[in-house]
Amino acid sequence: MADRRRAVRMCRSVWILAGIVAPAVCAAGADSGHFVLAGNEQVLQQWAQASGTAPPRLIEGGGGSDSTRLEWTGGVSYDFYGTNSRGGFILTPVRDDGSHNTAQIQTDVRSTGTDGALSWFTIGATFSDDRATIDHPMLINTVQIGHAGDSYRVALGDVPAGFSTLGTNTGLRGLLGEGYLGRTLFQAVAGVQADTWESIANEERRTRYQRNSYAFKVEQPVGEAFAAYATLQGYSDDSDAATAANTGLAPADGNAATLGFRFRQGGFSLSGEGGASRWKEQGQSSESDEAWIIDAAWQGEQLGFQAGYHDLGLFYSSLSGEALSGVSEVYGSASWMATNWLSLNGDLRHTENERSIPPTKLGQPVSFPYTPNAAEADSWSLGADVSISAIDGLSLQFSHSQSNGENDGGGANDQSNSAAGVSFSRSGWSTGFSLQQGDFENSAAAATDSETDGWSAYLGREWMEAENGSWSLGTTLTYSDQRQELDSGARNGSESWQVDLSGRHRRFGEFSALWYDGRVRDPSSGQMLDQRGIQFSAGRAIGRYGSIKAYYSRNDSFDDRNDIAYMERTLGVQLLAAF
Amino acid sequence: MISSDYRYRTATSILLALVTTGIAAQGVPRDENPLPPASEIKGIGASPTTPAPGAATGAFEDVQQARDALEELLRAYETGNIAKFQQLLDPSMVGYQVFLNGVRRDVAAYRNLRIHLTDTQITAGPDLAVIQTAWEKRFLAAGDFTPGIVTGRSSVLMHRDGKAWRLSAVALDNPFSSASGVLARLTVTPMAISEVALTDGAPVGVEVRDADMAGVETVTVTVSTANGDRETLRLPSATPGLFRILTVPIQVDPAPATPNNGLVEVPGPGNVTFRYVDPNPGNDRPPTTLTRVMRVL
Repeated sequence: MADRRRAVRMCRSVWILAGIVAPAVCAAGADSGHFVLAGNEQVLQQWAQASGTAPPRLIEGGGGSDSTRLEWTGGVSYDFYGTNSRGGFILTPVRDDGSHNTAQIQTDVRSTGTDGALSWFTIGATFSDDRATIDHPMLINTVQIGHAGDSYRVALGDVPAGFSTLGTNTGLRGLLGEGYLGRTLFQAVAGVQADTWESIANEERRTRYQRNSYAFKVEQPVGEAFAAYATLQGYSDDSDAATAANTGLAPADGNAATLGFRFRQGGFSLSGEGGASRWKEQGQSSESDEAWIIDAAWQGEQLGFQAGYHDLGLFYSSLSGEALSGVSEVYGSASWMATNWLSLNGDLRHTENERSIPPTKLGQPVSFPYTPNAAEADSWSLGADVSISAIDGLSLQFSHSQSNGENDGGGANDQSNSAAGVSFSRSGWSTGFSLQQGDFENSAAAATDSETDGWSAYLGREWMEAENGSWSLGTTLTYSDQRQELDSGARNGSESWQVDLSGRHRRFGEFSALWYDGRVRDPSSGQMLDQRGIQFSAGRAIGRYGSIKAYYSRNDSFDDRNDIAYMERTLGVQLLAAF
Repeated sequence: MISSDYRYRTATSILLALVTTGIAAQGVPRDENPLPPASEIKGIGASPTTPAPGAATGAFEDVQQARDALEELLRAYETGNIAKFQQLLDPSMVGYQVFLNGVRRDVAAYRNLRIHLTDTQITAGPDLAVIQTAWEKRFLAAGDFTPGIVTGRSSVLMHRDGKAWRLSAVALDNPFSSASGVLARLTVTPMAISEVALTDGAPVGVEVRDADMAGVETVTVTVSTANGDRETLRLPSATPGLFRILTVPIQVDPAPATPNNGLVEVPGPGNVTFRYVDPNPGNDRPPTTLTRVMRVL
């Protein structure tokens, strides 16, 4: 039954996609006579998008056309700080009390040849003896080496590969290349998905299986506004005993192929993609599935629309972090600048979540409820911004969002949030008041069914040296109050005052200070628990390339209840140099 | 549940409307400033087709801006500012409503929520940034202020939208939304035990830490042995997302086992297998069975 339904769904989707693509291709073909080959800038921008690095710059050689130009930028920071904590690991991230050293370095070297070819090398790393910052003494943040010629690019290292929504959209550590043959763009990437560079060398540092991956993409523009593309990708987990023992997971492999298109003309855009995949977990049978997405948008001067349909099968698997499998959603949203004092935005959608329904193929008992997430939901939201023209600086904001869902096997899963606010600013003064209200009801997680109400208000003032803006000073006083009433009868709440002060002087540098003091209502005893803290930082430039900053923070929470009381304190100084 | 017919009728109607609009748009005069032929097409409010001014030269700036945008998302999540969080999402994001409903569920279930990032690695370009990070989410349960912690590792994809960075997707474990997947941890203690100790009544504990299941009262773990015994354990919730039994009913019995009698019967030395089905393990995996084996020596 499920196979038949899937087949029907696939056939229908294919026909729909074909129906969309055909007229678009025809129309684009009619304009093909106006096509202009992509210039260097376009190519470079595309490369930047694909490689995730800043696009190479074509630099005119200062000494004539036969010169080569080398650019070197970099930065280094060093922090020396002391930490102190009380309350244990569960509530405070401080690992150990004492003094720590953390240094970060990043550098980028680019060489532009006489023919415009560009080579670059980028590396960034963190060194620290503070295990709350990095787990090991050294971490390579990013590393990449590459070369860009007139019609080809290659990069080795950290390469974000953004080929398509259903195909490949992830970061890999490996080799990426692309090149143009005529107007056809070919892209390929191969590498591993790994936690860190260090984890590639050391199995013990892996929290997941290292995933060997590859992907190809071919993209063909047709006319000025239309492009069609195909992608092919696959992966295979490196099986290792340490990760198996650590996670309890079996390694998996999979592959996927997708076809897609993009069309844009004026303010209208349309894009769609369909994909089929195979996924296999070691020791289990192979699963095949498909996915379809189509999105359209139109943006006028005052009105904009966006709508789309996404349908990704539960077992659809690819290299794209965007392809959340098991979700089917149809949506429409709009934004409208109705007048010069009123703007509205709205969103309407229907969602089905296959991940909330137990699959029949598992062959063993599952929890009931299977998940606390809605299997199906209808949602809408509406927002309005109103500018009161009669009173300069006064504006109102309203928003409401609601989702009415149903869990697997019945039972409500409803949520709503409302907010209203007014703000006013004039002559350096600013003030505002806002109200929030939220309702949550879920038959599968009834312990958290609750209603939450809150309000906050603030008053601020800014001063600035009028003549040339050589100094400025600002302060804001904020009060907020929030109460949550659970259906179980428990009640918690919080109220807090916060004062912040910040200033900047062209010669002496800048500072910021924040103090807060609040009380939290313990739902189990009704007791009010104190929570207070302070943060301060001040810094100034040293010469043209350097700066120094000192900082201090302290947070004391819930001293009246021993099992959750915690305190954390940090005092440090930072030196920074960038060139 | 709405039938699949209704689902397809709705989808078909909307798609037909899109097709009609698309065909109608073909009649629009040719754009005087056409985009590059192979450029990325983005919806309203999505990434532009060209890098933002200044972005081409500042790799450090890109890294810092991407990090700041992620921090802004984290602060909106921690403070339960749903309206702000919603503004930072792209409506065309796959699984938008599942993601948002998960955030709302977390806001109702947790208090004093704080997320701490470690091992953060950022690769940023003009329009695309990949942030790989490990995270620790600390909280108090809304009902009784029991402290809890969930950990994971994420790969966050962000796209530049005009001058701002917006969340595009979260791969691996999702720190923001319990509905979007975090790999569960199944722990059995001890991992190995002697037959004598088992006979003497040494405790065997089993624990499931699954943030996606925060709020439910129990989860199910199945146990199987070499002599064909198969039992279903219901682990009660200790804190949101943490379920455990400190003493599993287990005994050494060489006689043929009786499945589903509430007692795990071990014939002697061998393996006892514990299995938990994680419905939403993250990393775009379908429902996955986690397995732990306890050796009886």
